[in-house]
Amino acid sequence: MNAIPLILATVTLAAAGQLLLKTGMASVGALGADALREPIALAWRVARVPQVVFGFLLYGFSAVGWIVVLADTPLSFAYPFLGLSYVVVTAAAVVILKERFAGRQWAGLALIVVGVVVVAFTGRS
Amino acid sequence: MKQDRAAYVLVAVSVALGVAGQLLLRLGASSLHAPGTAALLRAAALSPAVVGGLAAYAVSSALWLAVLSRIDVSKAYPMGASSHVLVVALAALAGEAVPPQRWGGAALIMVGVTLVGSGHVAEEDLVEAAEEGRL
Repeated sequence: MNAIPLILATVTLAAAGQLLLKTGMASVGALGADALREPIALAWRVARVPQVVFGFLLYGFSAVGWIVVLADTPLSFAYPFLGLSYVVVTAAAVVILKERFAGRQWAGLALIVVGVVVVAFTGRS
Repeated sequence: MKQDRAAYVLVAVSVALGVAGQLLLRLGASSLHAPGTAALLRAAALSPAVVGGLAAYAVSSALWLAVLSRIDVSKAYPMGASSHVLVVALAALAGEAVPPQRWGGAALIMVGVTLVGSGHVAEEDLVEAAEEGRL
């Protein structure tokens, strides 16, 4: 199916946005009750973190791409590809954030990839 | 612990909203029939189903991120992973022809996401155990 390149681009954008949001929010720090009591001040603080802004932007682009995908791709074909975001986020977490993963998690990632490939082949029918 | 129960309910709400949002997006986007991407996006912005689907998706994502810090990833991920089978089931109910292999692929992805989440708790447990002097 020729929808696959756009689906993959959309998933990658969403994963990149997610990573940026994660690192951006980490720089804001834990959101305690004090911070939540002043939502406007909090929103202003969050909105000035470049990673958060850029992360939201990428999320927005991915949402637009997703709408284009779903205009002529069955949901049951397109949605499984979103599982790949775990693979992208994990790869980035290992490479950039130097997080460590257990064997079970690698097995999980492999299963996700196999599952997506199986779904991808159903698009030919 | 009481807070935990609320967190689980919120995760379930997040998953349900996410799944419903996807179906709304598909139903909305697939009925636009606009020529070209620009026209499609303009029509999408005016489609209640697309806008509603996006809103459900946004609330679902925000809930997920807000609650994830209060609940074990090993318990949250299986709930999130269930969306992969739920979405396919909803799509089938909505009239999509779903070949058996696609169900199989979705099930593999569900198990895979659950496994990815299961590793995190092992680490957290280790840290917790170390902090409590059990290691």
